[in-house]
Amino acid sequence: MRTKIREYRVRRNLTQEKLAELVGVRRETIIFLEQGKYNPSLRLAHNVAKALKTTMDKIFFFDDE
Amino acid sequence: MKMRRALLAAFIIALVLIVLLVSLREYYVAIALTVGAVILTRRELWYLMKKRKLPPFDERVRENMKKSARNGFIFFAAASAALMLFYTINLVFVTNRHPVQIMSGLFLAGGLVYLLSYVFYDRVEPKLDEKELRRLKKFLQVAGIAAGACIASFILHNVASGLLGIEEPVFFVIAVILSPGAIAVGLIGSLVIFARGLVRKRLPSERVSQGDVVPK
Repeated sequence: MRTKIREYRVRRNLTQEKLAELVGVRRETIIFLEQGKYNPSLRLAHNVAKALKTTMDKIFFFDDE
Repeated sequence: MKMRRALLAAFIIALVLIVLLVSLREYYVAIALTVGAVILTRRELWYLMKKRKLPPFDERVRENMKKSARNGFIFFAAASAALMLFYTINLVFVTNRHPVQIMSGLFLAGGLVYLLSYVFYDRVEPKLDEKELRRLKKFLQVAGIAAGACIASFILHNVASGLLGIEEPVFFVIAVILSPGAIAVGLIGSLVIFARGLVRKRLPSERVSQGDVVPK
């Protein structure tokens, strides 16, 4: 899985820590998500997209897409 | 709330254990336990001091806790089995130290390595590339298989010697020479890769290779 979380986060001038606070997770979870090393639950993916003021399909991609 | 309860429960258990160990005059075990507990809860303690609240217990941490509990159980079951085995066969070491002292030291060292690897894995894993992660897994597998082979060989050697009435050589060599060697190779190899990931500052995705164009 690939993500554009970092891109959207930088665009919104958010640090990993700030985004983690907004989503209610640890900073390490954001690091793993940005690197595509963690498959989030639907709820977490939704919360991340909401915090970045975008939709899930714009930040999460699968390799076969 | 769950996290707070779990930490409180762990703290009370650790306190009771430490009081018990100090009353038994097992000071070094008490110190090792205290250090281990502080290292294990280091991140939570730091967050608590900095923000006056506990860090969120998110879904990734919950998943890792499950894995950690499983691995911890396997480790302690294996370590307990090894200890019981050494007590049963009354193994005599060439050194003057009592076997129980040596085994306790090994047990504590293993526990500490386990705690450290769990605590720091979050930081190390993102900094290692796929190749290094594969190598780390292989080294750990070698150490794990060798540890299992060591225990199995001890049992088989004693069973064979007991049944046949002769000093059985094959399992003895595996248990005393080959397995400890393989454990050492596995542990040293994995520790080297682990330490490399720990001291590395850049993530693999941020590393610039020779062909890359660096934006000004």
